[in-house]
Amino acid sequence: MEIPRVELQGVSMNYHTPEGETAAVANLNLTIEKGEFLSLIGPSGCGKSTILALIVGLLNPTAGKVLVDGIPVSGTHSKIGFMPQRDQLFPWRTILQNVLIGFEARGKLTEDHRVKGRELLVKYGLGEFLHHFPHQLSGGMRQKAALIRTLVMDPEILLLDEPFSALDYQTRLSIADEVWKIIVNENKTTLLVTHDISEGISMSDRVAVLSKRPAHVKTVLTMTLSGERAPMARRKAPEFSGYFNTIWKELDVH
Amino acid sequence: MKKSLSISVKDISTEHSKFLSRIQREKRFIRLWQWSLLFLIFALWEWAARVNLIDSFITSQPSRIWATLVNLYLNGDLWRHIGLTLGETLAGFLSGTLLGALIAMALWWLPFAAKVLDPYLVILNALPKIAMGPILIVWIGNGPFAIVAMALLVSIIVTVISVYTGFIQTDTDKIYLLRAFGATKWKVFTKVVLPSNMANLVSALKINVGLSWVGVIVGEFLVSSGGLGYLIVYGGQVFQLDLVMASVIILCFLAALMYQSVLWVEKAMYRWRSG
Repeated sequence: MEIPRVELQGVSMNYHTPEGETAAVANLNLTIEKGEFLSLIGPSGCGKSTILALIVGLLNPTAGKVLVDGIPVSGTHSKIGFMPQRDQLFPWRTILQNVLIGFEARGKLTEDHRVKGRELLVKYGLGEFLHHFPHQLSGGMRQKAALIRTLVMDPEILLLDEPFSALDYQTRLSIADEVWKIIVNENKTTLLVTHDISEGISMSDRVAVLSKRPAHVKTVLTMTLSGERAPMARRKAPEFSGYFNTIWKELDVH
Repeated sequence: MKKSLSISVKDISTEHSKFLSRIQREKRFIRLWQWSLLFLIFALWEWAARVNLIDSFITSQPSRIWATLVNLYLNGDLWRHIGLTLGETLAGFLSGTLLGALIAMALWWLPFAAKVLDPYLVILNALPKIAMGPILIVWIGNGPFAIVAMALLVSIIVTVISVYTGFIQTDTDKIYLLRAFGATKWKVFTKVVLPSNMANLVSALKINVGLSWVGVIVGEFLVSSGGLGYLIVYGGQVFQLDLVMASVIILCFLAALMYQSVLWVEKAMYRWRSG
């Protein structure tokens, strides 16, 4: 059997504050296979961001193991590309400078990297805006620039933390489509965290539904929808509403 | 006016060019009023003194101030006093700001130290620094160094507190992003904390321009045998209001000049930030 890209084995995470102890994640098991697009859907505040931080390597689990390519995660590593909620582009940097921040953060920005950043921006339609500042771009374009900032580092795994939540609905639909195409084109393993059920169904190969806090995986559903694979088209697939209802029930919001 | 209109004007509509020239006109109008107001105040002052509406022995008058300035210039003292005060102020301003910013950085770097030192900073901030004057004189002697120390003392605590507060309020999501990219603490500082605190640093500079003048003049009141603060105290003691007023006017001029320099520094800093 092939080693999964990412594997969480019985992971628990507790936070301590003077007011007490909070269990954010409890005995969570999850595997993400190579090249797959998996969404994590859970009620808000259920510990999704904690799960991401564990995989990024910025948190150590209280119990259990986090493995990337079969190797335990300790500290940040270059296999992971993290894309935050909201674009977090630095307002004082141009789009190209923003895209290169990851290399600067690691202290090794070369001319090759510059060329690569420029190429990716051009390839995905931001060529005109290399030297513009973030505030001069629309929300959707900024989000795309944020994705390119992650992609340019050439990570094997993309972690997207509710990347579209700050966008208006229409932009959200079209940018989700575009981002999905870019990710497929770059052939990345992707973990998308979202609370938007439709977004999860339309973009993913599999959807994992999380419980309320402390988070554990309630169920994992494989999405088999007829028709075209792109998110926008998938929303029209006949199976869509069935999955929607199943996940809605699993979420158990009430 | 021509200069700002000629910025790549290919197809500026007449309406827009009218608008631009209107702003220009308004700007010049404001400038004109500013100078006129200054002239008016001095003219009124001079006139009131001449017709004995005010007692020029107490209020002095522009013509006598001018004569005092010329006199100071002729016997070579003017530049000595200006040079001394300006030098002390610059030294106090630069050392206070730099040291303050460095300490703020150290506190950001070492949260434990920041927690330990917090009450000390709060009390030092509340303490009127002028009360430290005699101590400084005993420790450092009654020369320019005590005055620089005074200026430093007045500005450093405020700098530490305001700059540090800005540092720790840096957007945590941006820091998180950089850390996810594998940034070291130093990279986090230089790539996010410092650039996002530019406005904060500039405002510390602006506040310190004022504070270091306060420190120096107070210092010169206490000790010193030269400088504008000395002239003011001396002039007051011998009831030479001409000398006091002349010194105050020079101070106004110098303070304005220094503030303008800070604005230049501000521009340079923003240019650095945007690469």
